[in-house]
Amino acid sequence: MRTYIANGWKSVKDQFYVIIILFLYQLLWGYFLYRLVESAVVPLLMRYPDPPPNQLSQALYYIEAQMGLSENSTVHAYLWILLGIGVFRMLLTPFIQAGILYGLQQEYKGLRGLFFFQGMRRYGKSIFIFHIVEWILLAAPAYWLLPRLYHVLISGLQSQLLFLNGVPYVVAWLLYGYIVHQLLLYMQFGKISGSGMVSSLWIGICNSLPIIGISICLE
Amino acid sequence: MAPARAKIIFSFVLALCLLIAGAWWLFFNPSADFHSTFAPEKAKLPASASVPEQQESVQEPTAEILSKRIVEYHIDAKLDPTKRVIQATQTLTWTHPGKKQ
Amino acid sequence: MNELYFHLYPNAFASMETTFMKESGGKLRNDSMPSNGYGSMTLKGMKTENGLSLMNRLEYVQPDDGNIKDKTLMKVRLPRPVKGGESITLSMQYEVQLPKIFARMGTAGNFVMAGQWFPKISVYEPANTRGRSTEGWNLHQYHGNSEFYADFGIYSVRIHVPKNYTVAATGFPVQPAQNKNGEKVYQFYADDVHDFAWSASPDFIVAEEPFSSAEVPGVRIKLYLDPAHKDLKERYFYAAKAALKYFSRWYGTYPYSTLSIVVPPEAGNGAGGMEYPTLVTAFGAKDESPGYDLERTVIHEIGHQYFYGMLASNEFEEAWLDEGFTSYAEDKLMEQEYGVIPSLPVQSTLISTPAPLTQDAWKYTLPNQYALNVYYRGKMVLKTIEQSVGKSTMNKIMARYTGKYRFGHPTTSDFQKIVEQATGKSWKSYFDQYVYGEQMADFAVDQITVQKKKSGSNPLFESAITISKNGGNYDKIPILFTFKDGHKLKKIWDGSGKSAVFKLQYTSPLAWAMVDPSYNIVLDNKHMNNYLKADMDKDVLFRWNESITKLIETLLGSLSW
Repeated sequence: MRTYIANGWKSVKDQFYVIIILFLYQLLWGYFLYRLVESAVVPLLMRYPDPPPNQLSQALYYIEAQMGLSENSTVHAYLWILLGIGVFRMLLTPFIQAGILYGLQQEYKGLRGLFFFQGMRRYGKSIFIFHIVEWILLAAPAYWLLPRLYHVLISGLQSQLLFLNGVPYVVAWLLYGYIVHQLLLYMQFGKISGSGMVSSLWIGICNSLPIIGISICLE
Repeated sequence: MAPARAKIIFSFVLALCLLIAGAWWLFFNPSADFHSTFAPEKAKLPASASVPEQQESVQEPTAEILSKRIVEYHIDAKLDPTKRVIQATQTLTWTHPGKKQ
Repeated sequence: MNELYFHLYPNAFASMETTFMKESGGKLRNDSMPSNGYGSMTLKGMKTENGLSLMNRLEYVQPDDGNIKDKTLMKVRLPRPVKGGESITLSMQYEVQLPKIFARMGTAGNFVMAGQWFPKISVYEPANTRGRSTEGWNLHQYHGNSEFYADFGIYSVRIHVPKNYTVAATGFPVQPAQNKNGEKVYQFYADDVHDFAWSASPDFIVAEEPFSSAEVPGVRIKLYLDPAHKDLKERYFYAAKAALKYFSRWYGTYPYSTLSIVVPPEAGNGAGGMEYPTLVTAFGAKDESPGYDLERTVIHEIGHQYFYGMLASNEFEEAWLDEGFTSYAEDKLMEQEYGVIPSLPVQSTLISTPAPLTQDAWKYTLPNQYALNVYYRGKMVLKTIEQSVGKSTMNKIMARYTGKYRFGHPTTSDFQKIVEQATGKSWKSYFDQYVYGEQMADFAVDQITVQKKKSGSNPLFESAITISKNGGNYDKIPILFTFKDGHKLKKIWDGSGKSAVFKLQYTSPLAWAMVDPSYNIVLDNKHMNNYLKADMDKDVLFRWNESITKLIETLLGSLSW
């Protein structure tokens, strides 16, 4: 176990270029997102009347904010932009994943170099399919969960404590998502290393406990 | 035989006694609750004047004419509450308020 | 004139295909059609005085939307034309299947509300009525959002009900109710009214009180209570008396000898809150001690005796003339008698889709848009006129308007002319923007920049504040400036131009600015932008931005790189 973890950290050192690329990637997104949030939040904060010049001022602020959520086109534009960012990043993820995995695979074979973009080109599409499968599997429980969560939301608006009723559903969903992700990850390992998806999946299942342990440590 | 019949007779008599005792208790029990269930109206009416009498004030039409009376309806209507239906006949006299033919 | 038109309002409830049901989705305010609650009006016979049957000269028409499934407007071709000034007499037999109450009329248990229950002839408007140049019929179907319109006249109505029923109706009985053949027969009479409604129930608790005041010679107020509200008699009477007294003083003598108030049962709530000449319905009796909505509803419906009853405006085309005016009168009396002041700023915020007030009732898209405009926006338009001209001139305007158009059919431009005559100036711009147009007001603080002009022991800051007018025009816009040292400054902008910049020099920089700090501009429906801070602590801003960004990043990071 310890050698595996140690080998893992050695890989990190070897994959340094990939790490730099990903770091820059995340940095750019973070900056863009911050600027977006700033443009929305600052005007709202500057308009919040405290101390309120009139006893109605703060109440009117909340009423108008709530109405704005459902009716204001600027609010809708922001929500669409956020959705767009989310979708775009989700679409890029499989390619990034492919690049990383291929790089690790090449390192295992003993080759050194930046195989990131080569990996993207070679395995991008197949990893994309994996991700589509993952997303479908993740979204599947929504069919049963969303009506239930909707009820919790409505009842929670009357009494905040009732929101806690939703927690087990959310936790179960997150757990399910984690399991699906890990299983598919192992299948991706198998695909890229050429040793077969099913056998990798089997390895993942057999070694699930240590895998979970490592995940928790890393988090 | 005899004990069975005796049992039946005995049960019958016991039931009858219980019935009479119960009725006796119900009717002659001095508890106010029971009395009021049998004579509620008498107890309540003098105390509260909240049951209003149906007053029907009848009036006569005045001779004053306040509007341009274009329409005059005479309606005879009958309500059937079980069928939720109104059967009616009406006579309407309409006066042409304009000048066009 | 060789054709007559009749409204057969109950046919609106005949099926889901009628115009009323399609537009309303089977709902009025908060009440929905109960199952198997359909209703209809079937004409069984129609004859002229000579006995000629007109039954094969009938046709349903749909001038508003062409919906052939809608039978709420009927055309009758006459065998002989009626000349101007002549009268024609027709006799009709009909059967009304009462719907289950959700939209004003029908039955709820034992309770019956018979409103719009007979074939009503449409209004024929002579030339110069409501500004029309040529005379003609005013024809409309019954819509989800519309109410009614009719001509004045005389009603003599005999009503047969089972003998345990009590009947409340427009007008007054001319003889005591007769018991014969196991039924009770009422004979009612009403004149100088344009509608006749009645209500019947075996459960009514009846009370009657006379009322008179300086402006009201003598009225019998008749209360028909649902048993659930039997202890609230005094509240109903007090509200009715206050309404009769003050509305008579402000808007003209109440000329009728009776005013009947019907309190429906809870199941009949859809029939509640409605006005008919000399008969009003309060809302359905539910709570044993309801709040001020009880008084408010009674006062509102009595207000309608003026704005609808005597000033018989066209509720299809100009609903604000009755709803907006009555809401204005209701607010005025509620404040005077009960000290209840409406929250106008909150009500204006709700008006997010303003629409012209002089618009056909069914052109308002949602039921909310109709109510928010004709009730709220309508009364705010009047309130703004009152603020502009002052209370005593406004009272004069209302007295003249209600005096001149009493028992007439007024239109919006008639009211506009009265305002212009009373103030001696044109109100075209105001009416074009806020009445015929769909404007609301919106004054905002757009920007604040602060410059340090002098530092040291006597610092000097110049704060520049941009105020803009995003909605309609207004006369005087108050602005409040507050500086960081607590000093306050008030200024007034005359509203000319689209925006104005105020440059203030002071020893302290500006902290915040607010337009209309007391929310006096009743028609302003966006209050968030009235207030702006000059600046905020950079750290506070950073923390807000950073936390929200991190939150979004975490969410995205769980699903993607």
